[in-house]
Amino acid sequence: MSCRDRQVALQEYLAGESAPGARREIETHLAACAACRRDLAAYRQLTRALERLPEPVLPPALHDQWMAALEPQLRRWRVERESPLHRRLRRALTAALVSAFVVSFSVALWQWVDRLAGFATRSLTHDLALFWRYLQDLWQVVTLLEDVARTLQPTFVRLWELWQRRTGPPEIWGPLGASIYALLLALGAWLCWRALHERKQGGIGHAA
Amino acid sequence: MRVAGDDLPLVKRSLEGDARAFAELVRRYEGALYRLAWRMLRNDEEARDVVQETFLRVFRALATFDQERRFSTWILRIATNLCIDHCRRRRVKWVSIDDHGEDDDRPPLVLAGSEAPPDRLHRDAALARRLDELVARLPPIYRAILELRYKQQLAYEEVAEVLGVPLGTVKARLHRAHRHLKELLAQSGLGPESLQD
Repeated sequence: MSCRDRQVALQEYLAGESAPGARREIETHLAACAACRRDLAAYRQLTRALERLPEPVLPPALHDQWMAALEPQLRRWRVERESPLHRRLRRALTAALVSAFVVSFSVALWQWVDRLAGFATRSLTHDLALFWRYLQDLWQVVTLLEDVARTLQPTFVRLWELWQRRTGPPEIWGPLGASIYALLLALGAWLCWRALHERKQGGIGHAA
Repeated sequence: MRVAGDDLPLVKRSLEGDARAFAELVRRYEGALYRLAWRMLRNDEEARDVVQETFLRVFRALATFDQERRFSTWILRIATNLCIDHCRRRRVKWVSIDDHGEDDDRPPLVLAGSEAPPDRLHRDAALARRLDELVARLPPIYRAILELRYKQQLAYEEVAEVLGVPLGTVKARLHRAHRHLKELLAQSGLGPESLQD
């Protein structure tokens, strides 16, 4: 093998990647060949210089930027990989939270409207009667919505499937969740307004 | 390679839907990928895009990752292929005598491993910058091989795995990269002796 043909082997030797036999052969040759020793020294210098090449500094904000770009996929991934038990628990928790929130907010709003209008509560029985009437109104609205939903069910199912395919099931604070909360709040406010209107016209408030 | 730690537990947790595990993988590899992409593309904006695209592809393909193999070489391979595609798309110029490189939209650069006295540091920094300019004039695939071998300290076998080529091809390309670089050094009036430690 000529010195010219040994160049690749010299680099391998320098990188510590030579097989033991090839290593011994190179060392024997280097002991006798000044030209190859010079080449090896030149490779070593170049290699060290390459190891010290300047490198770009990674701006710390880039990590957040990349994670933000990955977030929609990560969210969908989390939902897809969720076990059935976890999914059921999450949905049950979401439903419980929404119900508790809507009921407590509506009651608070009811009381506030009641006091604001100068109809201070007179007794626990009176308040319970108001609350019972509120639940009856709520039940009527839910029944009405159920009828509408039954009529539109095939369309809803299709839309729901399309939505899931595009974004995955909604999270508790996702855009769909927020829309549901807004609708429920509007419903609560409307019920309060209606009850107040009835009282002004001699409804249950005056009757109690 | 400068990336530490065992990636497999993180990969497994990511596959189970653990977003924090994937975020940790991103943190672990973002620097290496960004440096590789920047070295190949010599453009900060494009390097950022390539890294982001790499993470997206890794994420989508994680379920197909062969866990018997190294995650590091797999992710670097995806990034390298994306850089090569990028170079093809913009019809990057390959090295020629008249080529002065695509220099370059560069972020701040730091000299690696600089602990010498100030005058020596100044000389080293000037030489490193000059060498960096010459490396920029090499074809992207040679830049990739130099980055993987000398900056990221990958073994020949790992470089072969990243580039998807036989070991012999890596040795030959590395040799050609050195030869090109020596020619460029000679043309610019710098011999290997000027790089002496």
